[in-house]
This record gives sequence, structure tokens and C-alpha cells, in this order.
Amino acid sequence: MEGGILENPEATLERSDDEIALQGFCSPKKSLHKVFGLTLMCLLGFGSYFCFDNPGALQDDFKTDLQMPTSQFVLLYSIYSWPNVILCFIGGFLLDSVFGIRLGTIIYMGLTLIGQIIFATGATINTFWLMMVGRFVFGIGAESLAVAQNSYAVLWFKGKELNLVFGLQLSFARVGSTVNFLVMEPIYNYVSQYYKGPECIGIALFLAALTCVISMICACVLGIMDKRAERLLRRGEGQETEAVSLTDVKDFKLIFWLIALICIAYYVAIFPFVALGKVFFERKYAFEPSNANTVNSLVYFISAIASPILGYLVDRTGKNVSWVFISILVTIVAHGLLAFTYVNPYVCMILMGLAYSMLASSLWPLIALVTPEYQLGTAYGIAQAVQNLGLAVVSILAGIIVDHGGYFMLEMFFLGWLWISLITAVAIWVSDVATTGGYLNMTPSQREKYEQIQRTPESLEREKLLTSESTSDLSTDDLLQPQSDISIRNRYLSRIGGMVPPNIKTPIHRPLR
Amino acid sequence: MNNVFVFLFLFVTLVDIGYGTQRILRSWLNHGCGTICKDKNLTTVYLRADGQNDTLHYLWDFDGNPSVLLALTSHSASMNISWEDFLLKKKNSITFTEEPMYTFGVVFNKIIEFNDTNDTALINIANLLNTNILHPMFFQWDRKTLIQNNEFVTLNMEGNSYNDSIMNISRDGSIKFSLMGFCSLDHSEVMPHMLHTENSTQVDIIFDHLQTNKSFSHSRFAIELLVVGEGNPEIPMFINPKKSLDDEHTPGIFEVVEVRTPPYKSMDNYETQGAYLQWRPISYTTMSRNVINSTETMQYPPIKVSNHTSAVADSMLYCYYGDKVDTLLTQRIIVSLGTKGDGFYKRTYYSTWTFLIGYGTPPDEQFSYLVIMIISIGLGLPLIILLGVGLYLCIYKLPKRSGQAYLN
Repeated sequence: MEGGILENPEATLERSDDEIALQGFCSPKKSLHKVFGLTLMCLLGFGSYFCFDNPGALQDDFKTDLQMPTSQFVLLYSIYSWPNVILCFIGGFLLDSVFGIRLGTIIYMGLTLIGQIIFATGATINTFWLMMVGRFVFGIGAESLAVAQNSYAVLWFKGKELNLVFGLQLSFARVGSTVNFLVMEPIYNYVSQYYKGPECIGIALFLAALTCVISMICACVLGIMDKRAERLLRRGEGQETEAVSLTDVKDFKLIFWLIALICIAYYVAIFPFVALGKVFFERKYAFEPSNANTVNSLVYFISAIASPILGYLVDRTGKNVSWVFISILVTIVAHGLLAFTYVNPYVCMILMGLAYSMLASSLWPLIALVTPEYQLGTAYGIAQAVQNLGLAVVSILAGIIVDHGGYFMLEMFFLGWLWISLITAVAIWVSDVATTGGYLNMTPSQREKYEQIQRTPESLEREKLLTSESTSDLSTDDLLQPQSDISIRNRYLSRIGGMVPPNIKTPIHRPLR
Repeated sequence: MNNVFVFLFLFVTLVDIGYGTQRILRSWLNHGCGTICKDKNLTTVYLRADGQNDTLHYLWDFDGNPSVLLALTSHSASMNISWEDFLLKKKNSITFTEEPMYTFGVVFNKIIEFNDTNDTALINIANLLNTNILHPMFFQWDRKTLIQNNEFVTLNMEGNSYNDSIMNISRDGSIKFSLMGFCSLDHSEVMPHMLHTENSTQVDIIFDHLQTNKSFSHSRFAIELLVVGEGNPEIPMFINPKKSLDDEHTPGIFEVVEVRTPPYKSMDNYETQGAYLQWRPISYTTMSRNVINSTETMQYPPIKVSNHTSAVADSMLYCYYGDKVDTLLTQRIIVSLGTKGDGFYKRTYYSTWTFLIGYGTPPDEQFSYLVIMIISIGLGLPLIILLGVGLYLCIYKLPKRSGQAYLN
């Protein structure tokens, strides 16, 4: 409702200031503004991805300096992942209902930072439980932060560039983790010239926490920018603020749950595989350890480069569901080659890396297309929570399968999961065709048209009703009901004595809903 | 009366014909020895496996260097041991009532300890300074269990308190030997779950806390087998590591090493009439056998033996072959346990090696039923779904379209 007739004079004045700001260099409409925002969004996650793998990068030093057995070391990762099976769902819900995106992001970033600081403190004084507390707090913050990051991306870029933005965020996450592996060891070595033992690890971790501080600054700046953009673009005005409650979850569309199922079924065939992959390549292909490591990390390496490019491709072509389907199919081929042939594993892993990047770029934006904006946090929270759950359970299962059934069975297990996700992708397509006529799998231009048509029935009716001579014939009840052009046409048909098709009530409205 | 002619008899009521080739197993401990074996610690197991067309005779002997003899005869043939001569290791003390169609023997000839200073995991037998040779016959061999039932016969032996008085070497710790004969094609119970036929014997060797040479800092063990068989003595046996896709039965191992006897003039088809050794290149380093606690084995080209007779003199094979061995294929095969960076034997003081001695063609691994089931579900489900989608479109889409057509 952009009429503005009812607005008071002060508001109108304020608006004119805004008009000037909209013309300026920092206008939220300018692409420079968006690019700057995007950079901040990517940097937002950098700290958490960097610090997440700190223990991994310093594994040997953890074991020697802190006399930490492997079983304890593994716990540092478990305490991160297990609570997030539930907590990032709650984190996403709170984002929608209590904090709002800006405050929420800052709070979650704060938790991440505090967690890392507690962790570093725990390492400095060599107190294992304190380190666990630190990882726990860090985990809550970091996973919910990822949810907030997704929501930000949707809020700013829904429409044309969303797939690219998701790709960029994924790519940046990989960069964060890679930089960590490259940098932490030299940092540790540098610190070890001045400090020894637990203190040395602690200080290295404190230095790592600086990345979280940078991310924190980004969160604040992004919050300010978003507030300004919201005011200038009048985003959300005229929309009623919806009350968000946990029971909304039951109203989520079927398609959303199918997407969540893919989040489980697809990712369990990637991450746990990579976790066990090094030994697989050593055993099956007789690779040297360093070579096995290279081919194994190829998936992540490719995703860092390919995700934004493929995201851009999806942006241009649309057809997200087809891309998801193709990605899963290619992953099946890659896993199939690993299981049933001796084809060079580099080929398989490159295929898998490309497919994985494509899926990440095309699947996650789908959630934004089927979920109302005010529930985005909850929706992304759920998706991430079930993904975490799947990964946590399957990682354990995969280990058991390798020990008892071998890698061939493991591949069969992964192929089974991929089949499930492939079938789910088909189910998404069918269900989408049935409910919206295939909105999710349209090209961008088709989507635009579709949205126009979606809007027209009401506006069209209003126009017709205002101009039509038969207005007086209509009862007030009819006027209050939003009606489609078809129902109006039917009414005319019935008035002039034409026959109304008997099965008209349900099926015709179906695709338009 | 425990040592006197312990007659152990096993009878298999003929199993379903569906199982294909099956052999009926019968086994005896110190067969026909009588009072001579009394109060002597002797273990010579005779296993007779009667099939549809022929009979396989196995002799597992632990007097002298542990050895296995395999002979193929017709149903009517039987084996005799003249125990007095046999105990004196005289030639021809083992005889068959008719000339066997094929024979094959394996002697567990040496245990070689080597100091792998550069961590290459490769043995250099020419380097005498860094190798120690232990002769298995100097272990005190004790029979632990002898299990005989319809499906298999298992003999568990343990060698302790090694004492080589000539070289003045003595060692603590033990070597455990487990020999198994089977009646049909199947995977064996213990890891690495080798696929055996009814024509093969499985040998499982464990080096359990065997004391290492004090002057060696990086000890590894290798096993030297002496193989005697019918085959051209001039042609070296063929060692062939084969890759497989399936590691379902031996998790983490995609390779199987095969050693075949070379062709021989009297054979129509050496592939089906020769013998083979087969193993997975894995050595487990703890009691609980799993991939995490394992290392690899290394094999080397077979080595020719110059004096055949003296090579087999310390084993039961001499009692059967005698001087005939000079014209037979007699070669040494060395397999070392361990691989680069596995922490050497001292890491767990435990190593295993499992191999098969078989007659005929080594069996090919097949996908298990579970795998076939998964694959068929994987390929079948999409078809069902295609059908479902088709039905869905027929039922829900067509009426609507006709409705619209009507309207337009």
C-alpha cells in the first residue's frame, strides 16, 4: 500500500530526506552498497570457520603440549556438533521471534567470540573442562550464526543473485578453514619461540580469536547498514509483523520438509566420506599419504572455487530443482565410479566437488522460495539442525561399517543415501508442479511472469469491479472476498445461462494457489 | 590312553546337492601310530577329503619344521605311515597305495628377523648383519586344540621357548599356528575371511610377543616358505597381486596375492591341475582383528633352491618325496610383515599372516547377496517411482487439462 495519503506530515518530511539519501553514493539501491554488504556477510562467517578447525590444525601440538589423548581430542569436535542437533533450530527460531536478524547476528557472533576466548583460556591453564565449555559456547554461536548469515543473504539478495551469494558464502567458509590450516602452524611456531607448553597453545588460540573480533566488527557494521537500508527502502513497511511461534513449524510446506530430507540424505554421503576418504585412497588405490590427502581434500578445494561460479549459473538459468537433481545424479556417478571401478580417483573427486558445489548453490536458496520471510530463521535453523543430526549419526555409522563391512559396503551405504536424495528431488519436483505449477523449477523470467500473474487476480478484479457497470449487482460479501478472474467469469457465465463446468471448484484454482 | 591311536572320526551326512562340490571330511591324529607315539609329543594330523570324483589327502605335521602335504588320488587310495622310519625322518616312510595324480607340499621353513633401520619394510636377506634366522623346528610345539566337525577341521598349535643350541639363540614368546581344512566353498570365520574352496587349507600364523634380537632396534619378521610340487623346476612360480573392487570380507583390503605353480609337461591344463598359495596382503597387529590395527605384508620373487634334498631334509616332505625332490619344483617364497611407518613389530608385539594352500584354480570373489540386494533396490526403485509419477500425472493432470479445454 504505497498510497501515502494517510501519512502524517512529519513522516512525509522524513521521507524526502530519504529520497536524497537514495540518490547519494551510498544508496542501498546502488550495487556498490550491495557488494560491500556481501563482503561483510562473507567475512561474518570467516572467524567461526577459521576457529572451528583450530584444534585440527594444531592436532599434534594439542596432544604433546596438553598431553591430550586422541579420545579427548575427538570430544572437542563432538561437543561442537552434538548440541547443535537441537540448538541451531532454537537459534534460528529466536532469530525470527525475539532478536531479529541484526541483534541476533551480533549476539551469535558474540557467543562465538566468547566461546573461543573461553577455549583459549582453558588451553592456557590446561583445564580440559573449561576448553569443553568454550567449544560448547563457540558451537552454539557459530552454528546459529550460519543460520543468521543465510537469512541475511535472503533478505538482501532474494530474487536475482541469491544463488551466487550462497555460493560465495560457501566458498568463503572453505577459505576460512583452509587459511586456518595454512596459518595456524606457523603462528604456533612463532609463539613457541617465547612461550612453551599450554601457554603457547593458548596464545596461538587467542591470536586466532582475533579473526572472530574482525567478524564481530563486520556484524556490527552490517547491522547498521541493514537498519539504514531498511529505512531507506521502506522494506517491510505495510506488512503486518507476524507473530512467530514454534507451532508455525507444523505449517511449513511439504516441500520444505523434502528439502530438509535432502539436506540429510545428500550431505551424509559427502562429509563422512571425506572424513574417511584418506585411508580409502591409500588402501584401494595404493596412494601415498600426502597424495591421498590431496585427492581427498579436492572436494572442498573445488567447492571454494566453483560454488560462486555455479551459483551465478543457477541465477541465470533458474531451474533450481533440475540442478539439484543433476547434482545428486553426478554425485551418484562419482560414488559409483569409486565403488565399482578403478577409474582415477581424481576424476571422481573432481566430479563430486563440482556436484557438491552445485547442490549447495541451488538447494539452500530453495528454502527461501518456499518459506515466508518472517520464518526464514526458523526454516534455515531446522534445515541445519537436521543436517547436523544426520551427519552426527551417520559419521558414527560409517565408522562401524568400514570396520565390519569394508569400504565397498560404505560406498553402497552412501549410494543408498544418494538414491534417497535423488528420489526426494523428484518428489520435490512433483509436489511443486502439483501445488504451484512448477514455480521452483522455472527460469528467472518465468518466475517474474508467474509472480505478476499471482498478483493480477486481485488487482485485475479490483479494476474490473471499479469500472464494471455490474458493480451494483454485487453484494458486499462478494466484494470483500478476494476473487480470481476465473470465478468472476464463471459468475457471468452462470448469469447469462452458460454452463459452468461441473468439476470446476477444486482443480482449476489449484495451480494458482 | 590319550596319545594312543586317538581315533577321531567325522562323518558328514550328505548335504544338499545345491551346495555343489562338497567333500566329506575325515581326520585322524597320528594315524596308525599305536604304541610308538605313546608319551611322545607328536602332532601329525591326517585329513582325508572325499569328493565326487577324487580324494584329497592332507598331512599336517609338526615334527621338524611344520609342513603340509597335499595329495590327489582316486577314492580307493589310502595313505600309510611307517612310524618308526617316519620318526627318524627316513625317506619314503609315507606311502600311498597308488601313485597320486598330483602332490604339493609346503614347509614353514624359516622365520627371518630383520633390522629395518631405514624403515623400508623390505627385507634384504643378503645383509647377514641385519638378519637373524630362526628355524621353526627349534620351537617347542604343543597341540592346543583339534576341532573336527562336518564343515571343517581345525588344528591349533603353539610353539614356545625357542632354543637353537647350535647358534646359541633362545627366545621367549610364542608362535601360534592354526590349520584349517574345509568341505565346501565359503569365507572363513576369522579375519581376513579368506575365500576358500573345498580343495584348500588355510594356515594362520601369529607372532605373539616373540622376543626380538636385543641388538636390533627396528625388528620386523618375515616368513620363508619352501614349496615343493609337480611343475617345471626351471620356471619360477608366478606371483600375481590382483586388485578387487570388493573389500566386504576383508575391510580395507582390495588386493589378493596369488602364487601359482608353473605349467608342467605332464599336465593337460596347469590352471586347473596345479596348486596355488593365496593371501590378502594384511597383517593384523592386535588380537581383535580390524583395519585400524593392521599393517601390510610384502612379497618377493620366488628364489630357486640349489640342493632340493637338503632343503626339505628337516621336514615331513622328505619322508614322502625322498630323493625324487631333485626333479621337482622346489622354490622359496618370502613374505615379510609390516609396512613403512607402522612402528615396527615392537609397537604391539603382535603380527599375523593368513594364507591358503589350494589345489586347482583359486576361486573368484563374488558380490554378496546384501550387495546384490542393495543394487537391485537402487535400480528398481527409480522404475517404481517413474511408474508412480506416470500414474499420478494420469489421474490428476489429465482431468484438469480437459476441464480447461472445456472452459476455453
